[in-house]
Amino acid sequence: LIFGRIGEKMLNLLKKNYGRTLWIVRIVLALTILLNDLFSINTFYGLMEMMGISTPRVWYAYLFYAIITLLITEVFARIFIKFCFNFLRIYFIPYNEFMVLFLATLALNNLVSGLVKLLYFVTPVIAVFGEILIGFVTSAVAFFILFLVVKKLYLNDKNAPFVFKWFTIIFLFVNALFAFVL
Amino acid sequence: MKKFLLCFMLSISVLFASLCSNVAYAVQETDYSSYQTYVWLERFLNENDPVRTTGTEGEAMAADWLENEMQSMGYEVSVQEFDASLEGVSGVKEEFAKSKNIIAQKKSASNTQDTVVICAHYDNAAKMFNSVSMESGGEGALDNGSGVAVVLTVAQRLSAFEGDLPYNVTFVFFGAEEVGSGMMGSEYYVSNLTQQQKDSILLVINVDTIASGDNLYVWGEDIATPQADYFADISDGKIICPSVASVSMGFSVGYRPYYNICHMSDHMSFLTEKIPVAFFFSGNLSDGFSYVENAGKVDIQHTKNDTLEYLKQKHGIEFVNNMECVANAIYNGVVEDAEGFATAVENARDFIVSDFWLDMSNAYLIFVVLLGAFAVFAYNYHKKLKKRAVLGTAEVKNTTVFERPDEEDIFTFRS
Repeated sequence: LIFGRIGEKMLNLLKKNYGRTLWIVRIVLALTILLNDLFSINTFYGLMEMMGISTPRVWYAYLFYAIITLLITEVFARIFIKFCFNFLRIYFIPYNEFMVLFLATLALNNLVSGLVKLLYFVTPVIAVFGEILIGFVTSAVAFFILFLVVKKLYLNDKNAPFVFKWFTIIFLFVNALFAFVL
Repeated sequence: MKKFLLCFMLSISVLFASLCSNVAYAVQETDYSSYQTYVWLERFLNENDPVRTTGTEGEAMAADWLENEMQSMGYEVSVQEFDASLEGVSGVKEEFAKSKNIIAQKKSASNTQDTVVICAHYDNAAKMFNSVSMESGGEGALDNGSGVAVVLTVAQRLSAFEGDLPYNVTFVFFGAEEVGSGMMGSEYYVSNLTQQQKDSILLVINVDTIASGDNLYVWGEDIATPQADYFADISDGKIICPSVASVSMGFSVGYRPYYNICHMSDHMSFLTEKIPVAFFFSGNLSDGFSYVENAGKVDIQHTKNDTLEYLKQKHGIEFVNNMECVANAIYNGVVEDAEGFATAVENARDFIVSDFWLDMSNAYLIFVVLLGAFAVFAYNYHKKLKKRAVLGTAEVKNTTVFERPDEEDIFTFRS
């Protein structure tokens, strides 16, 4: 319905190639990370320049940042999710498929949050509230979408409450950790 | 014959070209000294020590020099002495040193309390640690000899002004802007003002680092302000209001929870006390939303290149034009167009961003409320899921997103 016939065909082809889908999701995620962090990167460069350190304001420096952040995000996410699935004995959700869905949801979250954060460049005053609240609101929506997709694909009526409870606890814990500690 | 003619023409061309360059050079030399701001900058640098970092004799000498110059213009001058931290200064054992603010005032005949403050800091970063070259060096021609020269120029013109203004004009030269956590002179000055004095300040005009840079900026707040718009208008667009500021969470420098280059000078001591400001500076905020002087990097401010000779070599007459432009804007606004200026800054206080929006604890409070709301929503949704689980089935779902491709699919995809 969204992509039309060509889109549907592409989607069907992607469903049959896990590796390529994962790489497409990674590329989209890297780009959305760049969008989401554009403001902070430029601020960091500005501070470096203030201290007399010249900064590489070139496209490949931004790309390098996106790739490194993607790498760190994915490595940590894989370790954390694998640990949670094993610890909670969630064997009914295929780990590899879930990783693709998780990274895709993260990209969606970054895209929406990054677009809203572009407002900082116009009115920096909103950055104070924005940096704390925008991330939480967009990630809460993204979290719920991810759960609905996972529920539709892998969960039955009996195990859905258990998964939702633990997903929510982990989500709230991670958000509070990022907001107050990191 | 042809060869002779060719040689003759070439010789003539070379001679003409060298004459032209000499003429251009001579014109440039003459131009410098015909500008009041340049003369003040040259005098300030030549008649003082190149090292004016807080805690050095050079800073004390510069303070005395400014006091004498302002007195010779006919101003009543007072000196404010305070202890300044020497954090960041190289080669000193003491933690604190004395520094001075030089204050001069021209009072209005109308006996009003309303005051316009015009200020610049006179210390420099010559003996301060620099991340690149241990000691910054330089003589502070750009940071902030240029600002001092502009304020002295305005003061000199105002001293010759025979009319009366509807407000008092106070000139302040701050010490200890560069050391410690920064802006120590202005912080001390503001802390010594009574609430009535704070309320009577119409506007604080701060000039810092304006000689170099691709653009001249005037900034009043992190939102549009009438005072910044006013100065941009009267300079015929030569001075622009920065529409984009470089800010971020996590990089607080003490004044606001986010970083912004426009916060990095003495006017912030006033703005945090809800006194309206206009900050003049030069740079380029269009390159990656950050502050740079020219062509993508800072190569003068806080480096050994911060000398008059380097400014001349790099910018030619342009750096003098920058100083003249700012001096003209301030003088024309505050003195020549006093009524228009007073009207423009009348409501400037209304444009100061409320503390509510700058207080991160308010944002955290809303975050906690949202977190709670989400937890309540999640609890109710979980209850709903559990209710459904009682009557629901426990069938194992075998649905997957990805399918095993057959040979034809792989071929189609790869092509």
